[in-house]
Parts: sequence; structure tokens; C-alpha cells
Amino acid sequence: MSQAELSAVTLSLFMGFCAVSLCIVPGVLMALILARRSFPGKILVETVVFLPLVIPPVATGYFLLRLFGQKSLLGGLLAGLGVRVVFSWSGMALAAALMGFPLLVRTVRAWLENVDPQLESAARTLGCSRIQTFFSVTLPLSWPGIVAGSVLCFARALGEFGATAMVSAGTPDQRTIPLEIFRHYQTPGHEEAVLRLVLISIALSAAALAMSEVLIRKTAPARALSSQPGEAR
Amino acid sequence: MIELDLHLQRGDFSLQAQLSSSSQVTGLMGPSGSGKTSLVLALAGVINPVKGWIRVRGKDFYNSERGINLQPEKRKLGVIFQHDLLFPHLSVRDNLLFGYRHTPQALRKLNPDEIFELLDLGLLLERATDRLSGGEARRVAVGRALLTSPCLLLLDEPLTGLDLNMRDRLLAYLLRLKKELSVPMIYVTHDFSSLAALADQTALLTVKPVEKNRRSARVAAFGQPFQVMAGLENDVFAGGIENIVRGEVIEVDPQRGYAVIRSEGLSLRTPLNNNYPGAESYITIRADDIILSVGSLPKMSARNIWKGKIEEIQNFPSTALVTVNIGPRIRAELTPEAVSELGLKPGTTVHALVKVKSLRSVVLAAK
Repeated sequence: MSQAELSAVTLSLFMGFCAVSLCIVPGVLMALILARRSFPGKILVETVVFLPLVIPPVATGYFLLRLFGQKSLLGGLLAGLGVRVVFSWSGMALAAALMGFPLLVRTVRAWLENVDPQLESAARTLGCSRIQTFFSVTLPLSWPGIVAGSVLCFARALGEFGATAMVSAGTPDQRTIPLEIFRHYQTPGHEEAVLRLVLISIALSAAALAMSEVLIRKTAPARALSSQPGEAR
Repeated sequence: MIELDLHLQRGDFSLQAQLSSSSQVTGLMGPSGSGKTSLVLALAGVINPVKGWIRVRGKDFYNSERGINLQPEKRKLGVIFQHDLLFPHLSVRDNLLFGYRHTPQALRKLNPDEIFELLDLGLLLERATDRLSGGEARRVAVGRALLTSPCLLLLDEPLTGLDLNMRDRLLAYLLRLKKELSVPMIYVTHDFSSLAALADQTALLTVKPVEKNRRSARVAAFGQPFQVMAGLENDVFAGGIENIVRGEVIEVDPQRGYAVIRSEGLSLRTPLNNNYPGAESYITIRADDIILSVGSLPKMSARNIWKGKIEEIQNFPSTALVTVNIGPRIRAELTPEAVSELGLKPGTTVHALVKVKSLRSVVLAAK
């Protein structure tokens, strides 16, 4: 494996971790809101959150360029502070996070909806405040969903191409595995490198999935799903 | 002291409840859908009334006019929910200590070991919650609530879903709580025999439909269980009419397969259950389980055959209630056809027949 390929693998992994770190807290909060609250305009919020799943990733990248580009208001403001978002790794991380966010929210939300709200009421009557209830009941019971959601988010960031390509400067230090694969693919005689990187990316994603399965099995109360009210004992 | 006056609304259902009770154990009975659980949840602070107020032991829990709504964790109530709601990610021990750990040291009045012993939980402690039987899970739920040292225990149909034997055992545990710990309780049930055994006073909720699928419920009566029940005389109670007799266990005979309980000169043969000689028991017999017969009897398998005189016959559209004096008075529910075919009228001498298995007995305490 060449130096450039190694750097692409490292950068991809780094993007994955960045995306998960950026998404985890807002993602769990968003999942909690969508699972437990109903409010006017909820459908609009859902649409916006899940939009990156369905629109072309390149469009998401374009949107980021317009939002954070040097000529935009936000981009200009940040540039004044010496922060450069587009054509830098921070922009790439942002793009990866944006693409992974809906996957994390969806997965966590499904698990949260499985946690019987009556269990939370029971915790309240046993002396827990709302926040204590979240940490002692809701979180442990939806933990497998958070693990699974994080892994999906991580894997999505690892393989993100369209949006990342838009905000990457394309310099060697800003190429993730997919970008590197595409570059090699376009260069005649680099088929071996393409194959190698494809295999590496498959292996990384498979490893992440396998690890999440193990973590879910270790942390999941198999019973978390069997405490629905009305179920016969 | 529990006082409340509130208006609750849940979908198409509304409840108007006014209650003031200073009993140690206050019953809450009524047919299903009469708002018993809603009232419990409102007391616990899990759901909010539309308006009104709730005061428990001098503390304002809720007052819509004064803008008071105490959070559930500040109310210091122990709630036993209908479905136990044990935490599936915690062991039995951690479930039991869950509320205890959230109770400040100074407010802990009960010691875990004491509760484990009182409810026979010692052998269950290290188990997972899905390895408990229905009765065991219910006891854990009771223990978990008790260990918060609550100022009031709310029991929402704690006997529902348990088999007969387990019901009687759990009821015995609840009677122990009442006697030994003097914990005030609100006991919700639609089972009158357990209510009569446990509650000092009871509220009766009734529900009736009002226009367009909407149902409206209210507290229709309050008083000692038997008085409240007596007030229901002309009403056909949703759960069926039950006869309740109080008596003393004379003998328990496993070989013959029944226990004999004496009440006002009458011998009743009941299932063995937890009866023991000298115990005081309540016996309940559903009115529609009683057969009346006139004339001489052939040999019969029914073990309870009582002779008596009809005192009253009440006719309803498709059913008749016949009151027979057999020592105590019991009521039998018959079809109008049976009443006319047998020529039943006040003064007729009849035999009342009931199978042993149709009697339910609840042991109160030894005399």
C-alpha cells in the first residue's frame, strides 16, 4: 500500500470518527424529540433531517459550498475568524456528518420508540427527575440503538463520496478512500490500487458492522423489547 | 388524609371526581373504563387534570387555580402500576433499590432487608426480571415502591392477571403491609371480595355514555365497602352481582376436597385455598352461579345445598334477582322464564345449590 493510499485510509477513518462525534449528541436529542413529542411543523423537521438520505449527495455538497463559501455571509464571517470550512478537512467532516446524521437519528428513534414511556413514568414516581430518568432508564434501554446508529453513521462517513468531493480541495491530504479510488480509476494502469482500496473499504465497513453486532448483543437487554404493556407473562 | 376535586379528560372520556378520605386504606372500585387508573395516574402526577386540586396529607399536589403542579418525583408516592413496569435492564435487586437510592437518607424509613423478608424476596434478588412469575414480579413491584418510604401507596389492580392461589397470597402480603407497616394505601380493584378484606372505606366510580361515543364517569358513592355495595342493590353491577358472606373456618378437609366455613348458622363448603381452622374468611358467590330448585331433590354433586325462603324478587328486562333467606341473605340471578316456570314468589321455600368451586374465599386473619 502506497503512502497516499495509507493517508486516504487514515483520513477516511478520521472522517468517520469526526462524523460520529459531531452527530451523536444532537442526533440522540433529535431522535428523542421525534420519538416522544408531537408539535406543529414536526413533519417539516423530519423532512429536513432525512433529506440528505434522498437527495443527491453532490447537491448536499453544493449546499455546503454555498453556505460556507468565502463569498457567503457565514463563510465570510468564519473566514474573518480565521476558520476555513470549504476546501479543508473540517468541511469534509461536516459533509460526512450531514450524510450520516439521518441514519443515526432513524436508528436511535426506532429504539427509543421501543422503550415503554410508562417505564419512564415509573422511574419518575420512584424519585427520578426527568434528566435522571433519561440517564438511568431511557439511555440504557436504547443503548443498542445508539451503538447501531453510530456505526451506520461511521460507515456512511467512511464511504461518503459526492458531498465530500464537492468540499474537498482534492490535494493529497484531502482525499478519503472513495476519492482516492475514483482518482486511481481515472488513471490508466492503476486498476490494482483501485481493487486494493475497494477491498480495504469493504473490510473496514464489515469490521464496523461486526463490532456493532457484538456491542449490541453485549449491551442489549434482550428483555428491552419484551416489556411492552399488555404482554402476557 | 386524601382530598381531591378534579376534572380529568382523556380523549372521549371524562372523569369528575370528588373525594375526601381519612382511612388508612381507601378503596377505589368500579367497572372497567370508569377511570380508576386515570385517577391513580393523576394522583401520581403522570397525567394532569384539566382543572381542580389534589391534596395528600396536607400537601398540595395539584391546584389549577394556584398554578401548583408538583412533579411526580416530588410527590413521594409509591405506585404499583398495572403492568408492574419492572426495569428490564436491571436485576431484581437493582429494581428493588432503584427508588431507595433516589430517596435521601433522612427520608428512608424502611430498611431493604426488612422489606425483602416481609415480601419473601430473598431468593429472587439476583434474578433477571424476565425470570419471575407473575406473582413474583408483582411482589417486586410492591417492594420497589415501598422502599421509597412513600407517604401513600397506590395499588392499581394488583391482583389482576394472577391465578387464584397467587391472588390470595398477594392479598395476604398486602394485609401484612397494612397491619405491620401502617402504610396508607389507595387500593384500586373491581374485585369486591379483596376490597372488603383490605379497604376501610371505598369510593365507587360509575361511568355512563353521553352523546356521541363520549363517556363520562364520576364518584357515585363513598363509604364502608359493604354500605357502598348495599347501595348498588338495584343496579346491575358491570362485574356481575356477588354475594359476600363473612364467616369462620371450622374445618379443612383435603380428602373430601373442601373447607367448611360457618356463617350465621350456615355451613358453606369452599375450596381449600389458604383456609385454616379458626381463620376468618370472606366468601364470595356470584349471583349467576346459584341454582334454585323447588320440591324434593335427587342426588346431586353440588356440595352446597341450602334451604331457605324467598324474600324478594326483582325483575329486570332480561334477568331477575331473587333474594333468599338461608341464614344470611343471598341473591340468585335467574332468567325470567325460570322464575315463572318454577312459580317462584316471595314466601316460596327453595333450595339454593352451588358447587364448591363456585365459591371464593379470602382468608382475613386468625381470630
